[in-house]
Amino acid sequence: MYREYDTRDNMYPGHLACSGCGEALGLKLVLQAVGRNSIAVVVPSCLAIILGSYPHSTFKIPVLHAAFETAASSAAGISNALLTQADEDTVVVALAGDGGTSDIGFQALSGAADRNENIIYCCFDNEAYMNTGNQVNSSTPQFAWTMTTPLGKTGGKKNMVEIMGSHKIPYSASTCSCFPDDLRIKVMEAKKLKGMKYIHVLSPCPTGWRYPERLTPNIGRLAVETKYYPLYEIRSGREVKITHYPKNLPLKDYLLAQGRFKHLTQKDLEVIQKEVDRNWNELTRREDQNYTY
Amino acid sequence: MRLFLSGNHAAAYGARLAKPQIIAAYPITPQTPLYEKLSEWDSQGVLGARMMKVESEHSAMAACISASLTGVRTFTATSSQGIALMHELLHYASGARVPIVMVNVNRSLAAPWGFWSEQTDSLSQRDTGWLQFYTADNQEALDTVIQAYKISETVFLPTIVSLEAFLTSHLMEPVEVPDQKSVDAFLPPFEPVFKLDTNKPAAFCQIVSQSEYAKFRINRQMAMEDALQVTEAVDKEYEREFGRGYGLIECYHLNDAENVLVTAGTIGSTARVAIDELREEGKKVGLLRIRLFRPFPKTLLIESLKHAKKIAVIDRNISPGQEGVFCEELKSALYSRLNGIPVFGFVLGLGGINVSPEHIKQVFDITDKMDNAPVNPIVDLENKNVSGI
Amino acid sequence: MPGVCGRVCYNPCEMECNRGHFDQPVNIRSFERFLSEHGQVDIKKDIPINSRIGKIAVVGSGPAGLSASYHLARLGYDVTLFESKSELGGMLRFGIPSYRLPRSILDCEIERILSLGIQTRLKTTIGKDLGWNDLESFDAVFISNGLQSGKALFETIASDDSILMGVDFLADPQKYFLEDKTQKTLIIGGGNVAIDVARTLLRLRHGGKNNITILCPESRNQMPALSEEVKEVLEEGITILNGWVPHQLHKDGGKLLSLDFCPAEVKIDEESATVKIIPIIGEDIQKHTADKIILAIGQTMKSFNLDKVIKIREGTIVVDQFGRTSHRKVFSGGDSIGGKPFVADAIASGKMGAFAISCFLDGKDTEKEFLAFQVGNCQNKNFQHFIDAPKKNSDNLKKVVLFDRINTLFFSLSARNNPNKMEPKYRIRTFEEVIAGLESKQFEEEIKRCFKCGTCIDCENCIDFCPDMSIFKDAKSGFYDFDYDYCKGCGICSVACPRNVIDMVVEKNEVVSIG
Repeated sequence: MYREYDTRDNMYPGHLACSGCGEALGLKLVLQAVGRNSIAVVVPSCLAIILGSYPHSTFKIPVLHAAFETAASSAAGISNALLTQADEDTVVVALAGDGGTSDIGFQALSGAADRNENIIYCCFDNEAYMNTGNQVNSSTPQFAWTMTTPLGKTGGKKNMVEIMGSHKIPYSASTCSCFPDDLRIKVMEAKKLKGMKYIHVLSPCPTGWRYPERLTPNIGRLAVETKYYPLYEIRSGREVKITHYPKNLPLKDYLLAQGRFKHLTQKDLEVIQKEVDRNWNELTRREDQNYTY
Repeated sequence: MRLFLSGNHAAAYGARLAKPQIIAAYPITPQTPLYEKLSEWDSQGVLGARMMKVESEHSAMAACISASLTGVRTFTATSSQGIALMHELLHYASGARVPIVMVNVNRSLAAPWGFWSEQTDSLSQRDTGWLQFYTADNQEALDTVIQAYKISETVFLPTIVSLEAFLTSHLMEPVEVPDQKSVDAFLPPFEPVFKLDTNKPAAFCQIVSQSEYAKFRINRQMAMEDALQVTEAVDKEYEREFGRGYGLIECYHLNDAENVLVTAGTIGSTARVAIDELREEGKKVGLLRIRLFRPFPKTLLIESLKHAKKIAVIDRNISPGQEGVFCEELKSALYSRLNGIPVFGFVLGLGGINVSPEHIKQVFDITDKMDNAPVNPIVDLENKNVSGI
Repeated sequence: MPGVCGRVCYNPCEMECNRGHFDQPVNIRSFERFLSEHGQVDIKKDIPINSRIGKIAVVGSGPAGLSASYHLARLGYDVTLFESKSELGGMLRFGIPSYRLPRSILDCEIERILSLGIQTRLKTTIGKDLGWNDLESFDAVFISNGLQSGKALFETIASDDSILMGVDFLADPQKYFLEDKTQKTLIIGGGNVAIDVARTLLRLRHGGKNNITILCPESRNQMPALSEEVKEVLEEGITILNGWVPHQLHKDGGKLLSLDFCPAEVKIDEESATVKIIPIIGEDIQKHTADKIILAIGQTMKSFNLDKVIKIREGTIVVDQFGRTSHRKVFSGGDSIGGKPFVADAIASGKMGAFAISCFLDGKDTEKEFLAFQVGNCQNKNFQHFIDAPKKNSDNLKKVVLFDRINTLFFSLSARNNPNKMEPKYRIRTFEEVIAGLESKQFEEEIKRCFKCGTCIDCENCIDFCPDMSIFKDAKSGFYDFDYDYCKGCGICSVACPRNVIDMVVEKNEVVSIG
């Protein structure tokens, strides 16, 4: 049977993501939104495996598989080079994992934001170094089990959306791959703006988070509906807008559905709940007052 | 046009005349005047390139690599800690076969901290697959930068052009600056076949299998080998156009020399003074200054040194646990044909200590008097601090 | 008959509606009524091109008989509908009051059914005007004669006009001159008939102080009447006394009667569906005086010697699950087979009868046919498929989507849209409809609340959520299909589909021998 590929898709099937991968899902959606007139930079992460190896490429657009910590700097190089070729329309999109963004790639990202480079930077957050087998990083949330935090991580999670917002770039937004329309709308919004745009994509990982792979849509949606991971955007460091009002489902529906959190005690849950509530209240307060940093 | 320029500024002119489209750089002593000169021209609207004032050398190299893969000519400059920070990406750039030209101002590496001339920083990168030139004066710096673009864009390998901290970077000399039109005629625009292009989508720098990887590496080695005659041809063409050629090596009083000094960089320039003086005393001495270090001009060296009785090498650098790099590489190059000639290794000028014509005469003297060349380098001319024969 | 069911159905569907487990069930009954008002189709399109050969007689034109006639006509048979009374409709016309089911609506619905070419023989009682044997010329007979007689309580004074049967009253309310408000009336019974009688009487008396009391043995919760009806009758100001059973009747000279009631307990056995009324005879006796007593304690069949033709046990016709009687050519449905006494159940039995008759006449194995078209795991069958097997059947009829298969993360809580109800103080003075229909906006809102369980609505959540781009819409068929070359079998699509259209089924493990 001959199958006609969906023209909206900007990547091909047959890639090597794990079965049930929330990151491949997010990548598909981001690429749909950026469109064909784009150039991508991918760095070592699960994304690089999804991109594939020579002589194949999963992407329908030109892509550079750059060095780990250079997603932002490589994308900036391309963006500037295009300007010297009098091309202001081609969209340059940097695609990195959470480690490549909040850890090793942080410097280049901050530098690019400081220079307000005209790129869309997408961080695909599966909350650990998953490609290398689930080691902890600064995006791993508190109490999470990883191979290098067998007793659960003691520290918290770096809030990249806020950090990027503090750079006062035109657009910094949180998204989740399990809210497809919200993600696509935000990427398309980023496309309209000039300067640095940061999109954080929460990407549930069945392999690392330890849940049955088919439940990826539910895990992603529960993260948002329990207020654990709010969906919102910050413009120019000032205007905060919440883009999805959650259903207030119980936090443990999200956390205890994942093997990486199954050891949580009641006290741990309370600690997390307190943090979640505090963040949400702060967020709603800022939305009302157009809080300035 | 003849201008009184520092090495930094001369190199800056070289870069500007080559008309790169993207310049990504980060300041580090003693490269800063070069970076600042480019910025000044940029602010005056005469630079032509788009400058990316990035937040580290690593990002500078990353930006140059991706910009180059987008099909534009790129330039950067750094020194010491900066080139060390780029190390990972230097491998990447040559593996990606992008013709970046980078000026490196040789400066000693921490720890401890020093700011003066030492060649160890760029020599530490000798395995990264970049072409390397070591210049001895500001004119050579300017001319080599322009030549480097033509060579790089022919063999598709990046090039490092080295100056020396303060000895050439800040020293001012009269320099002949060619006019833009002549340089345009010599160096056409960069138009690569393969580039990131939405009209021809492709993936660059993918994961490869073992055998494919080996293929890429062997190809790169072959390009390096080609670079020898390409460098020679470009240099000859440059000489025809601009009246100045340098060759892969500089030979000074080499033809009938019995004791030959091999060195690179400014020590070569100082050596000419010493050799003049020794020649007046009737000593049959000569100089071979290595200009092109990578690819290493082995055949040429064998050919040029075959009549020498003794060879002394002065390295303003050291690979700890071995010896000076130029000495080591020379010995390795000569071994197959000229292993009868004793090679005396001297490591002088580490950290930017001044190497005077007196020191060089001492080197010749020691070389002349010693029967057998020591295994380890001589690091102290007074005490001849040497271990082992 | 969407106009009828959209008004009077007790909506068992809503009790099972998956949405009900989430917030409130979808207002399916109101949908049916809305469609009857705004979505009429030409049912003559239903008549198949090749009509089947066969003459069928249908006895009784209540909902069961009308349903059987309709479906038999859809199948292409030649149907003759016999009715004792001078008008069609059975209990729809002569049992359900017009404030629940306006007569004009009923007439329209019956008209539509008859337009399929069904012949009618009014004022013809089989067993009286015609013999049962006269029906032998038909190829099959469907009997839906219903339970027309009210059960009596006090046989000795049955002929006394101060005691009425509820069913007789409802058949012609005006006949009994009960408009006088001062006439103290007791209604005995806890079912829908009792409620209908009370509310009809109230309206005859134009509301106000009504002197109407309902007494029944069941507790408020046990009353067989629909809870909606009970609620409405209480709103209208009628008193219901629960837990009482008539004990002794007294005539106190003249026409005034009094009735002793003693407390009663009702035991309902869920499994056998039997109801046991146990009077508690002791000192606790309540005396009620009344001018009229209306009995609504159940109904019986007027069989007219039907028991000579087919097996009747304990007053109901004996049938199997397909409505087949002891005579191979005779089928039955409706109240007379003793099932649930509701319109929907009667209509279902008529459909089942038509189905069984068709199988019988075509010489097909009824059980096998039923299983082939069975919907889910109960008595429903997909009649459309039975009539005309579709070219491409993409429906899995056996699949039942229960609430646990609905992914509620993709839905938000919302209140059910309910139609307007006339206020009690107005409605008690009129026979106008109590409950209105949904307005267009309400209808649109309510549609959104439906989960559309198991039905693909092209929301393309599956395509959106597939990380492997392995689901696509086939341009030719319009159905969604999977690219098995690239599908990894992760199952995300089956979870992302909010309404369980997609199922992940474990493949059979086939062991291949090696060597």
